Amino acid sequence: MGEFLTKLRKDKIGIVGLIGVLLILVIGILAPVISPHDPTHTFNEHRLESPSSKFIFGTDDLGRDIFSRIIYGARVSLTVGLISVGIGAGFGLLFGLLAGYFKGWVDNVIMRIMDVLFAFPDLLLALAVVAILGPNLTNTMIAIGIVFIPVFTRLVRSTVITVKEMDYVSNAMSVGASNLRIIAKHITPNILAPFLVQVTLALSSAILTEAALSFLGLGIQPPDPSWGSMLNTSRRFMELAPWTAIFPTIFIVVTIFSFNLLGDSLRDLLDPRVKKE
Amino acid sequence: MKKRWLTLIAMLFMLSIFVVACSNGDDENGNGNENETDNNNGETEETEGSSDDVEQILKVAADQDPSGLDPHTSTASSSHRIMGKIYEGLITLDENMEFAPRLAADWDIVDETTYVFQLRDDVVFHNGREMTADDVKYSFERILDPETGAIGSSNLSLIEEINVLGDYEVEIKLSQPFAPFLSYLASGANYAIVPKEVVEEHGDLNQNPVGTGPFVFSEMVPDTHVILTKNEDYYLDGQPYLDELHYLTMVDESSRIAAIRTGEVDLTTVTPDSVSLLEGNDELNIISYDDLEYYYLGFNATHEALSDKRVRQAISLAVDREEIIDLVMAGEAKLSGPIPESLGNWSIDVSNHELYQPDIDRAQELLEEAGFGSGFEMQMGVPSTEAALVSAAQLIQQHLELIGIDAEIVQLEWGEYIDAWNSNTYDSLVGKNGPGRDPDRSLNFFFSTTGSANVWEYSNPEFDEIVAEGLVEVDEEKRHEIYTRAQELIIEESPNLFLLMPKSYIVVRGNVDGYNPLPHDSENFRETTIK
Repeated sequence: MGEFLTKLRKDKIGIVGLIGVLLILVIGILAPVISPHDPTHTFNEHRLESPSSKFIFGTDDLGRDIFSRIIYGARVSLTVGLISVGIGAGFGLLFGLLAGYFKGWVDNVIMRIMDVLFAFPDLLLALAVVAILGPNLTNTMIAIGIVFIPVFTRLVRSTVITVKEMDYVSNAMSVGASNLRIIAKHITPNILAPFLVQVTLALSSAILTEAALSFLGLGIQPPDPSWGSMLNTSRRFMELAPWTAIFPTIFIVVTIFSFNLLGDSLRDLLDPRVKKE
Repeated sequence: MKKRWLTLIAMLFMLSIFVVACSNGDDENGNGNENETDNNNGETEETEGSSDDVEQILKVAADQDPSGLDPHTSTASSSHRIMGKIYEGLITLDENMEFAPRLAADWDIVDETTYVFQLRDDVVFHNGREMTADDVKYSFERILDPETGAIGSSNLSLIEEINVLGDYEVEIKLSQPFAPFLSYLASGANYAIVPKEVVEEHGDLNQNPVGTGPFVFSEMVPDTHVILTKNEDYYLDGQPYLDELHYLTMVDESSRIAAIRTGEVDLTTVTPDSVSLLEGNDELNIISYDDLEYYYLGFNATHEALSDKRVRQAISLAVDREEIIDLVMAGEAKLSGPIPESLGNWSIDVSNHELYQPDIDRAQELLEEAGFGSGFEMQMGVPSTEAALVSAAQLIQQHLELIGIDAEIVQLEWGEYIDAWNSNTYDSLVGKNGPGRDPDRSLNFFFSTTGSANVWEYSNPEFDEIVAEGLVEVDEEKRHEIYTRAQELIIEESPNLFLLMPKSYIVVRGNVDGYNPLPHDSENFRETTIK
C-alpha cells in the first residue's frame, strides 16, 4: 500500500483525477453545509435570473438556486454511482468467481445469461429495466446495476481462470483446502487489482447513464435535483438563460473526467506488466 | 507519460473553449439576433424576385407526433391539428363562431328533434369515391357503436334514427330536444364523415386516414414528420392553395425557435418565455391568442382519500394558481374554470371564488374533517414531454406538502400519458384539456357519470341532472343559467382543479400569406400561400 501511494504521488494525472473525485465527494457529503439555499425552494421573484452574488450560478425557470441544485445533484450522482456499481460489482464478483472457479455447467449457465445481457446496448437495457420497474431513484440504481453485472462477471471470470492456474492455488488444492477457503484466501485478493480499476471506470459510466436517464425523464423524478434532469429542463431556456445548461454540463464533464483519469492511472499503477516503466 | 499530459491539456483547452463559446452567446445575444435578421432579409429579397415559382409547401413545427389519426377515436391535440386538414364534418363555424356549411350545403331544423341535411353533390373521398348520404349514416352509426370507443359517442347518444332520404339528403331524429347538437357536429374531426370501405379494410383509420378534407394524407414517419398533399379534387374552387403541408416533429422548444429563425419551418407555436427572443425580428410575425385549453389537476375518483370532496377542496385551497401562472407561464395566462374565458360569455368569473384563494389553515381543517389530518401519499402523473406541465407539477407538489400530502411525481412518455388518462391508472394527473366549443362539451363530456371523457370515474347525480337539463333546454338565457349552476357545482366539487388557461403564441415567417387563424381553428391554411 505504501509503495502504491508513493507511485500515485508521482503520477500527476492520477492526482488530478483523485482531487477531482475527492472534491465531488466532499461537495456531495457536505451538501447541506455548502449550499446557500434549499435546492427545491422557489424564489418567486427571481425566475431565470443570471448569475449574481446571491445566486452564483443563476436560477432556473421556477426560481430555484442552480448552485444549490448542482450541489445536491452531486449527492444524487454519487449515490446512484456508488450503489449501482455496488450492485453490479457485487453480483459480478459472485457470478464471476463461481463461473471461473467451478467452470463446467455453472460457467455455461452464468455466461450465457451474461451474453444475453451483454447483447443489449447499455442505455437501452437500462431504459428497458426502468420502463418495466417504473421511474424513480431506486429503480434507476437497480437498472444501472443490472447493466454492470455482465461487465464485472466477465472480468472477474477471466481473471479467476488465470489465477486458478497459479502454483499457490494448486498447492492449496493439493493440501486439501476447501473451495470456499481457496476462493476467499487465495483467489479473491489476487483479482482485486483489475476489479478496482473497473469499479472506478464503472462509476463514471454509471453517473453518465443516470444523467442520460434523468435527461429522458426516466431517472430521478422532480423536484429532486439531478444534473441530467436539470439539463433536460434547460433545453427550453438554452438561449434565454444559458446558465441553466452550462453549469450542470460542466459538473457532469468534470466529474466523468476525474473518474476516468483516476481509473486510467489506477490501471497503470496496478498492472504488473507496466511496473518497471 | 508526456503524451497523457498533452491529452489532458488538450481536453481542458477544449472544455474552456466550449464554456467561453456559450457565455459569449449570452452576452451578445442581441447582436446575434440582428445579424440573423439581416441575413434573412437578404434571403427574402431573393425569393420575392422569383415568387411565381416558389414551392407552395408550408412547413409547420409540431411539438408532438400525432397519436393515431382515426377521427372518431383520437383525442390528442397533436392528432387533431392534422385530422382537421384531412377530415370534415357536416357543418363548421365561421370567423364569428356562427354555423357555416361544409359537407352539408344546407340544413333545416324541422322541429326540435328533427334535422335534415342537404349534402353537397360534388364531394369525393381521397380514395376517389363519391361521398353520399349513406356515408353520413355509416359515420354516425360508427360513432354510436360502443365497439368503436368513439370519443364523441355520448354527445350523439340522443340520435334515435338516421334516415337516408336521397343520395344527398339525410334526416336525423333525436329522442328528445338536444340544444348543442349542431355545435357538436361543427366541432371538428371527432364527428367527421368517413368512408366505410377504408375502415373495414384496415379496422380503423389510425394509420390509413381517408377523408374529404382539403389535404390528403401522404406519409408519416414517427418522430420525424407527417406530410399532407393538396386534394386536387377538393370541391371548393382552387382551395387549398398550398401543394403540400409538412408537419415536422420538433419536441424541443429550442429547436422550433432555431427552425423558425432559419426558415426551416414557416410556422410554429412558442411559449411566452421565448417570445422575447423572437420579438424585433422583422422576418417574423408573432400572433398571440387565448388557447381553447386549460391546465388541470385531475383526481382518480376511486382513490380512498381523493374520492372525498373535502380532500379535493383542501387541495384546491392549497394550490396557489397565481404562483403557477407567474412562474411557469411567465405571467402569460389567466385563471380558468371548467369553461375557459376564450369560449366567450359561457364562462363564469372564478378569480374571486373561495376555493381559488390559497388558504392553508382552512385546507388543513378540511383534511382533518375528512379524516386525513395527517396527510397521505399520492402519485401525480405528468407527460414528460410537456415541460411546462412538469414545472407546474413541481409547484403543486410543494403546495401540497404544506398540508401534509406527499405527491410523488411520475413522468410519463406522451403515449403512456394518453393511456394513463384513458385508463385512470394514476391517483392524479397533471395535464391539459380542450373544453370544446359548447358548454355541454366542457361539462357533460368531462364530468357527467356517462361522459365519454370522464376518465376519472367521478359521479354526481346532482350534476348529471343539471347537465341533462342543459341538453334539452333550447332557450339561450335558461341554458346560460343552467351551465352557470353546473360550473359552480363542478368547482365546488373539484373533481378536477382548473389551474390556468395559457396564452399561446404563433410565430409565422413573413413569406406566409393569407393565413387567418380562427378562434376555433388556429391553423386555417385553406387560403394560405407562400410568396
